[in-house]
Amino acid sequence: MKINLKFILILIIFIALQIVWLNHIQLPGRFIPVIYTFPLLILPLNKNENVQLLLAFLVGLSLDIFSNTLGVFTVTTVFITYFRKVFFLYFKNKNKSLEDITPHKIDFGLKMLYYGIFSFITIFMIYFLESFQISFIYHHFIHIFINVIISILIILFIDYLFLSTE
Amino acid sequence: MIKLIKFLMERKSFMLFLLLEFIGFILLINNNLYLRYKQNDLFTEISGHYNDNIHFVKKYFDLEQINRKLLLENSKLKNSIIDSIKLNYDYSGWKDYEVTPVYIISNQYQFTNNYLILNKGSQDGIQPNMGVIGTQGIIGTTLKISPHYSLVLSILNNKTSISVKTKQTNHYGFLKWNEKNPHKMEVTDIPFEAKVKLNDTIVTSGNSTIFPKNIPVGIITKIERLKGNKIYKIIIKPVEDLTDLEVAYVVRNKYQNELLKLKDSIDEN
Repeated sequence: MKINLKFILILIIFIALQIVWLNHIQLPGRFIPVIYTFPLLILPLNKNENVQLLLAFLVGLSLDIFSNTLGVFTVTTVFITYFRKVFFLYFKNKNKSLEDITPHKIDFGLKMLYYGIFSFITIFMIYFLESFQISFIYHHFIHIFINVIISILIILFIDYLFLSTE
Repeated sequence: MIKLIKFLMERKSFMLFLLLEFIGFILLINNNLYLRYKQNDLFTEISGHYNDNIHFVKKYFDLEQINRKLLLENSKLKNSIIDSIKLNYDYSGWKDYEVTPVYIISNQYQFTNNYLILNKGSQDGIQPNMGVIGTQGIIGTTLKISPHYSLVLSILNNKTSISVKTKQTNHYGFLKWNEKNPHKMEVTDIPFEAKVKLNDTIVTSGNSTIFPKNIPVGIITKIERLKGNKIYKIIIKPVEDLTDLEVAYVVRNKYQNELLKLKDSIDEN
């Protein structure tokens, strides 16, 4: 996946989907899967990191403006975009350099771990930054956990549907 | 110094990361509840406009349900008028208030601090600190107003603290949200002396200038005695389903400024 017009279009579709889902279609029990990060997570690590960070900033800001949560999505999206490379520093094959890694082409187990960790960080940060309270961990732990599971399943499904043939 | 500049130049993406996170945190801090008043209302207008378009489509699918709710409310109002004639019911709490009907075009209940957007703003006479009530009970208070839209602080917010009372015994307490469930709220500070029981109604106290008194808030579902503090902690189920809102009314106290000035002069003395 390259940063080109097609990618920008996919990104806009995911943002729109998240905004509509976030504000208007809620699953029973206030569960809201977070899927807007998917296009950013599948970007290869060898692409210009600065462009990726600026893109992440704009994605986060768009979601914040439409959700009345100014700053929450911006901080979260920039954070996960930057710290993707830390994940691969720990889990990459020793023979490979970071630049050779294309996230959606890694082993299924590692891919699940990758999507899982970053879905958890995203949802955890959104809840934490939105509430600004430490006590939220106690109140929302099960909620976050179920949200993460739903998000991973949807992301894996999208990955299988659109990227497995690439 | 040269070493520092060289160090920073080598880590351009890290510096950009820090800069973008810094901007994000500035936005986040400025978006804190108490600073929302100072924030430019451009974002309220953008968000309102987008939600209005979505609502325009959505409301056609919900027309039947809205009609049913309004019919129910109409019948209740008619009944209450009849009752008021029979029982000489006290509606004096309402005489100082004006009511503006509005559509709710965006409703959050999934966060710890939830907000709503209404389809009317300053051009329709709506101002900050006005009460918003639904067809059944209270919903929130207006917070930020743009010309065409209003941002409302939902009662599903961890900053909520609304003066309420028990309908039967007139003991006062504060309404709070436990941040977990939109169908459960807490009423604190009701003293042990109050004879509260399950299924009693909690209503607005009328102590503030925001809501008229006796607006239904919720039904008592659980009562806990906090022995150390000699007060009750009461769990209520809001009478208004805050996950399913479509129409509401903004209530404005005609003498709010006058009353607030009077209260301020008391505080100064």
